[in-house]
Amino acid sequence: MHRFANPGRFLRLADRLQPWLVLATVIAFAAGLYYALFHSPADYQQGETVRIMYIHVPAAWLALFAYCTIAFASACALIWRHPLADVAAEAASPLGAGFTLIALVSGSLWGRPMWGTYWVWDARLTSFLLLFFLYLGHMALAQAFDDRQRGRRAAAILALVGAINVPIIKYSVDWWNTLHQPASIMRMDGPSIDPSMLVPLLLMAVAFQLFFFTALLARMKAELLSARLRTAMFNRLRSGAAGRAG
Amino acid sequence: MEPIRTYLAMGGYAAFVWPAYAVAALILIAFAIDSWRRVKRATAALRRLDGQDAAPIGAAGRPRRSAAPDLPDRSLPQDRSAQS
Repeated sequence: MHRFANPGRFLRLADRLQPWLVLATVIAFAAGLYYALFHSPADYQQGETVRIMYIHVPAAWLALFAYCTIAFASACALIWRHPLADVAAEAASPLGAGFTLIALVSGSLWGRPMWGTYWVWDARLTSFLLLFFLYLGHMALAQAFDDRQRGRRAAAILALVGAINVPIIKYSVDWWNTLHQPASIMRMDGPSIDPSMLVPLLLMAVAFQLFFFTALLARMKAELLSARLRTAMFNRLRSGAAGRAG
Repeated sequence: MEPIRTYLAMGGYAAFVWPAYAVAALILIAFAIDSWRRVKRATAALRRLDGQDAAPIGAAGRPRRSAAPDLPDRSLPQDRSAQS
């Protein structure tokens, strides 16, 4: 990890990766959408609403993945003061909130025709709504202090405390009687879903994952460049003041 | 036209399938544009600063009290120097 602790080295690496990541993301989305919308069957129970699953499930996975990224980065920031960890956590937070929102909205649009309701307060849905609020809290807290470092520290602690919600979300469908169905992909006995539906689902999951990495890298790069700009402005101000004094 | 209309109807679930895809597309595209703009803005501001000898102070950004992350961090173990 410390090999990429140097922001200069990270920026060079990000610059080199960026065009390939963008290209891979576009290709993955094109393939995923083709399978999801054209080249997959309707479900015998859910009908065409099964196509909502191809964005709902990847978005929900990424919502959890982004939170794990933030929690891991926050631990790195608090324990080792890794200079990029805070930047990564702050950059990942709005993306995670976006994925959570997609999962909540698409799930609710699926629930209306299939369950007969947009929303129920079952354990999975409620813990996922909590995840959304954790993201909002994380974003707000990171910006809440004049001293950026203090805000990031507070946000990191919130992220670590909130990490308890991740296993709760994952196992909520096993621990409680939820209206939400249990896992059908991440199972001990392998996925219980037909390959004709597994292919679009996994392609879309790859696309969402690539999108996350691409956007995360871009936002981290923007923040590092802004930090460099702030330092340069500060130095210029200081040397200007010294010049006038001398 | 008929097959297209049938397809768009999504077996009667068009009002649920398409909004779900639209919301996802909207959010992802918004993030893509915002992320790209942030990089452009920061790159342009840095270039402007490099190009000027006396920048209009206070115009491009506020100096912050906190340590910028691209300063060398002394609290990190320096792998290289430890080896040499």
